[in-house]
Amino acid sequence: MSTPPAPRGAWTGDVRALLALEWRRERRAPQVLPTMVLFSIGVFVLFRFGLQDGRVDGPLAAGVLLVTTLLAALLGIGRLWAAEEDEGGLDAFRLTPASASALVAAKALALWSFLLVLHLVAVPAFAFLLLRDGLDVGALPTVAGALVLCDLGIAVTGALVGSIAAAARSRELLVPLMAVPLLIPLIALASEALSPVLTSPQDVVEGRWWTALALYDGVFLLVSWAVSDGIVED
Amino acid sequence: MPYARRILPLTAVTIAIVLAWIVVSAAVVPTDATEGVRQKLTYLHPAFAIITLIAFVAGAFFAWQHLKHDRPIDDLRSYVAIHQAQNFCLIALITGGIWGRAAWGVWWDWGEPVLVTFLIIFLLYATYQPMRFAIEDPERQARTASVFAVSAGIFAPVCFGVVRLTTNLLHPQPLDDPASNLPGTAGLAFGLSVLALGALFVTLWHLEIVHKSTRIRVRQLQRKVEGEDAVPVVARASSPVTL
Amino acid sequence: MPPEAAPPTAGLAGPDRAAPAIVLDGLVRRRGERVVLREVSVIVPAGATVALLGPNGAGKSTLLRVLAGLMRPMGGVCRVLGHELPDGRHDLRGRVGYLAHEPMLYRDLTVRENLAHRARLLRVADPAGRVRELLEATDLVRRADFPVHALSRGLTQRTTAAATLLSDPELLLLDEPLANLDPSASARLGALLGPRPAVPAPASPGAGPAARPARTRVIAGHDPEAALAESDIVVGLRDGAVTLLATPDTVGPDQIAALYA
Repeated sequence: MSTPPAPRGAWTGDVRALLALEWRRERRAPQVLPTMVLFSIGVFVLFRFGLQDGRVDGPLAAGVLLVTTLLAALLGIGRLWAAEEDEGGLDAFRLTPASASALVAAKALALWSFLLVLHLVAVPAFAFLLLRDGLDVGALPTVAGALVLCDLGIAVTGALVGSIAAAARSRELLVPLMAVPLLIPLIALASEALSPVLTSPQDVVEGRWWTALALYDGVFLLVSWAVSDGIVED
Repeated sequence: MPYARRILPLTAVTIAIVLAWIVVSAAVVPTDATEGVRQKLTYLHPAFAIITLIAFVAGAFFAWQHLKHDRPIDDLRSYVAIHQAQNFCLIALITGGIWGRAAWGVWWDWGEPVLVTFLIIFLLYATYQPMRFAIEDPERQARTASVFAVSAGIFAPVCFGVVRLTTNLLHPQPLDDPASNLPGTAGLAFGLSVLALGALFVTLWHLEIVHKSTRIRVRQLQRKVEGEDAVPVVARASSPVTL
Repeated sequence: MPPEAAPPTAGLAGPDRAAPAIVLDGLVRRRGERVVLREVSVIVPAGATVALLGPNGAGKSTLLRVLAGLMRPMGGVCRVLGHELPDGRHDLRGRVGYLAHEPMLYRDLTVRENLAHRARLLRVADPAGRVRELLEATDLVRRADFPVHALSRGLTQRTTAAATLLSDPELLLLDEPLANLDPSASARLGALLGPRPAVPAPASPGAGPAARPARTRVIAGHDPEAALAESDIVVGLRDGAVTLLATPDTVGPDQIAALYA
């Protein structure tokens, strides 16, 4: 918005540097990823018992997988801006010419990549532990597509919610309160896109769910971009 | 202070419209043969829902102005719009339940997109005050609240669209349906209900803004008289604005 | 504000009166209902050093944050390095070094990683070279690959100082820069963060070092004697208002005592 014209490619360069920093910090002191993975698998086991040794398919399977993803994501969202807030990284960032939207974009990309890595582990675990007929190889592209779009939505919304919550004292309490209602429509759409391929015999996913998922992601991308100055500036 | 000056005429207009609405819906519109008086509640729920949605979007608009121009008055406008809209949202939910009971015999129906959307929006906006008052620095509080208000204000219509897409529309939508055979006077009553609640909202919005700014002014004067440290700072409030 | 109404400069006859580094005229900053800075008016010539004194809660840190472009002024004129704040704050980025109380470093990353990341965002021309240069200058080479959380407070302070100097800023805003430091580190850092005259443009391109402006400094602290010794202007803040504005040679011990009374 009021950011001065930066040299060409500076924005993407900043995003890349900030994203690399997120991953470097995660590698140096693994916190978010192991927590999300362990939590997801724990919840799958929990469902196994909660559903009385039952296996799931169709909408129920989609719901279990997506709600577990959402709950795991909440853990990551709570940590996303913690270092900026607690260690003063936000002030340091604001003294540099990098634009606020680059930081928000890097945060969203970091969370997106964490969630994608989470699903690399969690989806096979889910298929093995809970899915009635296992996962068909033919269904993989659809599952992957739906999860990539769903994760993007969670990541963008999460970056926004995380930044709002980070300013507050009760960060851990606020993240689930704000993120859950904001993500209900996203989970509803992703569930519609996922459940046909988790049913046996498989069904075809209606095109409108893909469009709606992409639109939801797009709207929140725009919102995050528009308010990024408000998040980072004082 | 133009806000205070507008309160009296606004109140008069609101009373006039509300009276007209009551007269039309009670006396002019024929009472439904099967539903009886309960059917008249039909005019309450959609009107509350419409005004609530507009109010949340207005809150987002003021919040956007606040982020752009950094004027505390815009934060106050947004804060009060959201606060009033929360009350309207709660009433929309309750009247929606009553409407559902009257129309389909159930208090709650997951197939009714307006009701479901308003539950989600209500849950989201219920976090506005806890979020806001958990932030210690007042300027940061105002700015973060504006970020929230803009995001939530855009989310509300999106949420409605998605819920509408994913719920199975089993029930008739009498007021959306152009082919519905409601008598023309019912349309008038419906229009009046939206107008009346809109006027009520605007009046209440002015009233709360004036109330809040007067309270701040009183505290300022109290500080002048009794000294800077005599009056503790209010932690749970919008940006301190005196009109 | 009428442009003629020149705020006081403590009678300083600097050579750069035409282009002051900082112009404050009636600067106001509130925190909610409380006024933190009330009508602060000071002109600081380029290259000058300001000692910012005052008791706890007087508004010193707030003033530094406003000057750094981290907080918006809410009234009055605030011009820093020729840019009107708050609108021009983006143009200040990289030209102002702010050394705060908090280290502003990522604790899990090493000293070198922290500096390299900051240098990258500050668009420093040769980040690796500049980081090496500053590691040597702050005597941190041996600890360069230690994570910040493993450093003592003094070493953390040195890292913070190195980070502040990465972009070779024209304006240094220092909030108790020598706190937590032993005498030798204090001397080393004091020199590094010290005044630096302007370098005029060389007669022919490539004939000498590139031109650079003089370094202006605002130093907040609680040690009046040290502050008077190295400053050109003394600004005393009390309850957010300027109660003392003078050159160090005219400041008496009773004025300092009154400031902290």
